Amino acid sequence: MVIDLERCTGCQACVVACKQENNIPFSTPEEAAYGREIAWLRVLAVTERDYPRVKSRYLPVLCQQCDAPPCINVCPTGATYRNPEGLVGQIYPRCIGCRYCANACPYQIKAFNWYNWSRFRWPAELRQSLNPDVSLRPMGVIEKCTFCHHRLQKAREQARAEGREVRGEGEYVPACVQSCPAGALFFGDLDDPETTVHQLAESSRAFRLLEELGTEPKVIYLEEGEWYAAT
Amino acid sequence: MSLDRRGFLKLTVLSTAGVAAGSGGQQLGAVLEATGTDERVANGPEQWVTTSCNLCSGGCGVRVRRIDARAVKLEGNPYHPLSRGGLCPVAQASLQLLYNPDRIRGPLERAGPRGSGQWRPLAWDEAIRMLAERLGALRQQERPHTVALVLGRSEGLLAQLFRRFARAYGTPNVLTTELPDPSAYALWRTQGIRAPIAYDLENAKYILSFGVPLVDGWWDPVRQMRALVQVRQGTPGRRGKLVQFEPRLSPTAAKADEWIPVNPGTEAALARGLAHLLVVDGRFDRDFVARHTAGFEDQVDSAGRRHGGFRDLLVREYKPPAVSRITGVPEETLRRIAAEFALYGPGVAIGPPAGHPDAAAAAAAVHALNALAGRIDRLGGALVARTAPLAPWPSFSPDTAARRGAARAPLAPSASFSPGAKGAAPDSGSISGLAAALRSGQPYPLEALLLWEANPVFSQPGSDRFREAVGRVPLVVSFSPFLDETAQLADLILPDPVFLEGWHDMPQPPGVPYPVISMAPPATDPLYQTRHPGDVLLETARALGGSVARAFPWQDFREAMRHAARGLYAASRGMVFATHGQEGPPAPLREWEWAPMPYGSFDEFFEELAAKGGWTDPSYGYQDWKRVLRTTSGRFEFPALPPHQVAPAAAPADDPSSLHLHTFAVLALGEGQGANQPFLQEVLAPHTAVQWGSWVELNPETAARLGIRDGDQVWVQSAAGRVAAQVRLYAGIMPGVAAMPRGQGHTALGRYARGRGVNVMELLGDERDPATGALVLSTRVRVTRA
Repeated sequence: MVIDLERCTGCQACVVACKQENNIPFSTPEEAAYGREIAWLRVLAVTERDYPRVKSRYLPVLCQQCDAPPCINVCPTGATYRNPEGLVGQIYPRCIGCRYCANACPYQIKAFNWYNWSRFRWPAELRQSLNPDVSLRPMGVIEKCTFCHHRLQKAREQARAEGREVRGEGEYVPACVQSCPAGALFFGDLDDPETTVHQLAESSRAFRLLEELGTEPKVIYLEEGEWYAAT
Repeated sequence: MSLDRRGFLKLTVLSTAGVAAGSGGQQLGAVLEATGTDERVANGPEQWVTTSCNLCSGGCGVRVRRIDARAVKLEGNPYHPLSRGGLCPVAQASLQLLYNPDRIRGPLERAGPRGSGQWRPLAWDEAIRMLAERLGALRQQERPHTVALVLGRSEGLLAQLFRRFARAYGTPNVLTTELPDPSAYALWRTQGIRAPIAYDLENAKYILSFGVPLVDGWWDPVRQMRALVQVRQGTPGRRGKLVQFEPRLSPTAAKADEWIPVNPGTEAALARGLAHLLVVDGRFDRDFVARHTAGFEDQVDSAGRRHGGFRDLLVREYKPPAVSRITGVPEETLRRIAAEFALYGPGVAIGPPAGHPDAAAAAAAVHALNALAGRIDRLGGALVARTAPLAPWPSFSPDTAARRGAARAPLAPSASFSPGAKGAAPDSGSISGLAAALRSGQPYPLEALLLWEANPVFSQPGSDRFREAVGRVPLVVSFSPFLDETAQLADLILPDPVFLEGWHDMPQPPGVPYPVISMAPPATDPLYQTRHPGDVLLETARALGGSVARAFPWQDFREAMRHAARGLYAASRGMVFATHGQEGPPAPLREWEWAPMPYGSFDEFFEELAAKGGWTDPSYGYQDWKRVLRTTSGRFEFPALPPHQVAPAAAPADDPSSLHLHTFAVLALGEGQGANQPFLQEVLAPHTAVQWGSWVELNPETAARLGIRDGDQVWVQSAAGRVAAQVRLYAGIMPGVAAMPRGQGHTALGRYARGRGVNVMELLGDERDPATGALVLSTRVRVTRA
């Protein structure tokens, strides 16, 4: 995934789209105050310098799907692992809720499920909007961004039915990418030189978050450009 | 951006405290509810329906994913010419509106004392008979003018239907809670056209924004976000620039290339100061000014008296030192921005939005800046929207009772200017005047009040005054789908379905230069016994009979909409959002050649229109002076310049503890409509980490002076009232200014909205823009530790 910070306006459509798509329970004011709100994708605001030269930047952060993810090394049960597609998976039935992985994640983007939200927190009316493609997580497990893996599965079934490989781009996008009103998020196969993400990743604006930690993230950010006087 | 691990942890520590720190002090036992196994979500066949969002004026194209009868997700419609597949958080969260547990399930009649919350469910036939009987009786008594309609939006076919009802029934009292747009005032004063200015943002390369919240909820946020991408990245090697003048570093200011803090309410002086520099440096468009404007040079009238022109006043009164003193913008910045604006175009100056102190005069001054720079009706400049060729509804003849009623003086006459819909009579009154008229019973007492998408008890200053005023009306009818603050006081509630459940149209978004309209089918079956307000109006008209019934010859709202759509078919141009054979992977829309539409009949056309969600005609002929300069002189008339004044809300005070309160909308909440959706309560503002509440932003310097620290609970006190909230120190706000979000502090609207934060309208007085009558959304306050 490539995130163009110049396009991102911090509107958080991606955050809401993710919650709606992935059956993420909403919080209450009390639980939000305890930091128990679940979000697989957050928009952080980085405020730099003082008034009046202050600058604020928005930074959408989701699981960076690291190639060397610190979270899997600390998992005592193998619940979190790097799957053959390169995504960091989370097997809910194996998770014992120790939260080591959440603390090991330098991006602080794994969420612990404090409540059996689906049963106790969602009025029957609101349950009608649940997505049948995504399981409801039981309480006491860690959950995280899957790059909308269920959409990948559908795309793969479609490709198999048509007797071909899944294309590197355009076959499916995660819900956040699909919703972004500014088109700031791009998705595709980074290894395929034909894809937009591959080309954007080579931009001079490209950087990775905390890459000095050796996590080898697969989410690439593009820095905001600066205006210059063209003639 | 430089972020190390430590910095990153500091950023996220608030939002993930529960994970990092283990627990927030609650007993673990209380948390360990019985561990449920994961439950299954019912599955079924998948289906997609194309419709449009109506939650703001943008009207983005929407595709709804259905599993069986359930709507489970909204996605953007990639063929919508403006939103192009994007959706904002408000549309994304709208399933929490549809499936909100606090929706009204069917018509209700008040059963106890007013406001007691006791209701009796009614059948629709009974409810409409009741309404028609009451309205019919008033007409019989020759008092149809004592009925008032309060509309929450002033554009679109449904709003037109309400106005038509008022004329046919016989009342002059149609009011809207929408703030009159200051740019419409500017266009009217300078070009003689009553419509908001259309900005050609996509083609601009230098945007001077006078406080316009481009990306946080104004006009059509999704279009504007996409336009900003065009400005920066649309032309390879040529990056455009956005300059934001605003007292606060809003999300738009954060996205701007340069944020320039400006003293609140001084945008008019700022625009004139920049105009001064264009004039004295000779950087204005002499050709345009000479050929297409009036009032620039001094004039001598028939009596031989000399009148100072626009140039003269600018040159004399708005020298950089004076403007710098008024606005707080350094002289060198003024000079640099004026030069950049002239050199690195195409440039356009926009704003300010409604609600700013002195917004109308400032909008006229900003538009004059466009004229000086020759940006009127040019590529990337300030345009006049082309509108959709909808077929007008058939004329009708109101009977004597209706004519007499409609000729009565309106209860709350508006200020001298009210934009109104094109071709329709401007709305007759200001909503604040209504409260005063109701309390005094002058010029006549009101017998019935009908409210559609309007919640004045919450959205207007002085909720007590409104509550009391509404209490004096014998019959209050609300179309609200929720028990909001005003609906709670109603006698009769005729609940509107949520937009996903009914046929609806969306008019052309303000600011868009060419027609884009939506006419969309329901995406799901209605969940409850709700009925479209258009259908309710038609049925009520039929029950009233006579000339009222004859004015509404349609069976239902869909048929009325079909009537209007005949104009699109007859125009033989434009196209529905996607034509036949364009299914398959979404491709960006291209420019196309015009050809008559390939439909065999109107029915075929309408079917296609409804299936694809809307119609557009995306072309614009620039420099069509006859069309865009509609003043009596046929020229752009430079607005006469009254001496610079500062609105009371923004006037600097001698007392250093008195602060200017700047209120702002957050995209998620709008003016409070989003507050009952939990997903929206969670995404208020990334820079504060506040969820489910309100906050007060103060500059660290201001806070230090007042002895206030970050996170302190404070009282914010104005002449009108006081509220309590938590302080967030924020370097992105001018010293001497406090800022608070609007839209919170509901006392009704259901479990998710009630009691979250505070309603800043409680702090506002009744200050109005003298030109448009628009409410000023700021005031002066004192902030003290609670």
